[in-house]
Amino acid sequence: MNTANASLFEQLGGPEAVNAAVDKFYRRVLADDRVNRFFDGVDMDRQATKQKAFLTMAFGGPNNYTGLDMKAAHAHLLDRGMDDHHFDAIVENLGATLGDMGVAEDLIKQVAAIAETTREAVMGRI
Amino acid sequence: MPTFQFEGSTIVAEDGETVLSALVRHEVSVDYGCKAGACQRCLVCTNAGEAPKASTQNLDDSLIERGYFLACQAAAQSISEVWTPSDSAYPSHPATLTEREWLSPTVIRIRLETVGLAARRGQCIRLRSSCGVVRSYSIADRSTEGLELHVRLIPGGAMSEVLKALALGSALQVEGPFGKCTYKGNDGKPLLLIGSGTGLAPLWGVIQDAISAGHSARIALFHGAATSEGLYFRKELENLQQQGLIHYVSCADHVNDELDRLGSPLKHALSEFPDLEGWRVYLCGHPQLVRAAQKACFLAGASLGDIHADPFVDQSFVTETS
Repeated sequence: MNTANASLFEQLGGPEAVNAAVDKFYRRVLADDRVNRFFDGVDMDRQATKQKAFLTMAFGGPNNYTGLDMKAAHAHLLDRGMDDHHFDAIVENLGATLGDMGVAEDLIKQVAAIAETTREAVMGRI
Repeated sequence: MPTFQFEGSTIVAEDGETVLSALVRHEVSVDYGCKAGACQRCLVCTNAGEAPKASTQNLDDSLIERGYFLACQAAAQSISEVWTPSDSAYPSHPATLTEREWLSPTVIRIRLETVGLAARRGQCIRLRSSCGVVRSYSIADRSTEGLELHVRLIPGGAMSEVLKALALGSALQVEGPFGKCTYKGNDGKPLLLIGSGTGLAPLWGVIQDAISAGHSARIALFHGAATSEGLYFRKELENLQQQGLIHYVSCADHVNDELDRLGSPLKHALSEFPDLEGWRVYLCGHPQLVRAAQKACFLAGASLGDIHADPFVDQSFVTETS
């Protein structure tokens, strides 16, 4: 965790911002026909926890995500046809969520950049 | 240096260290994620009341009451004992069957006298018969000495056949409590309760607690069953409706009572209340209904933290022989 990321997390509002964003983000994702089929039949309680962990990471918060975790967690979705366009859609939903929350454009770009760092792992290319 | 007990071993923590950090340093296998109190993956247990407040923020009341806390948010020096939560670790309490009554041709109400069980209406318990059959049931009602369960009679069902025939005064074991379908207090949020079959039991429990607390917002119950005959407790619910305490809608897939609506309780709930922003939602019953309702109510605006669901556990999963 570097200091620039820690300050991004603080600027966004820390754990409270994660709690505020999780409903809005997940609702957008489930309403998005490009990607919602990947969430069919998931346990919503567990999914909420995963979304919080993901948002904490993307907001530059403390986390212990590793590339291998991300790869393992998404492998079954590759089998179901997930590709880069779906990844793009999730990042887009993330940006739109933050936009709804009134977050400044330059901070949204920083969040998108952190999310982008997981792309190769999620797509199983590492 | 601060120390605490973890499942039989003593963990020596460094000054200022969190419980999670000490566990990880001792190479204890513990689940965790953000280390910032957000993801709630590092949920562990201690003695009720021992966890510092910062480590229980945003946790469900029913979890806090049972000593759950976030290991990443608790200083090691504030805790004396920690264990990993596990349903099988719930204490067992002796119980006596005291009453049995038919609520419908397929549902019986039983009352059990228990000793030492601290449970709330709407939570679940596991009932263990003398021959080792185990089933989960929700608590429909609760008094100082006893609890009331609604049992669906399944022809050939290992537990329901026992409960149908067991002599009053017979001994059983009760394990628990667990489950999240409890009344959360008069917070001004309207309550939407959707259930099928004996999924009504915990909802009935929540409704009673809400009424006793003088809940200040509306309480809407949608109860579904395969047929009109399966809609038990009708009189009690209509009575509450007449007193203006609840809004009650009965639904069935095969309707032969003019008061019942045709189709799923979820469908009728959402057509009547399409915007659930600010509502608290309770769901219980068939897993398919509960999963569909979780998603539909969330998309209709209810917050994830305000949707409380206890799907029936697949019976094959909880059958044990011992």
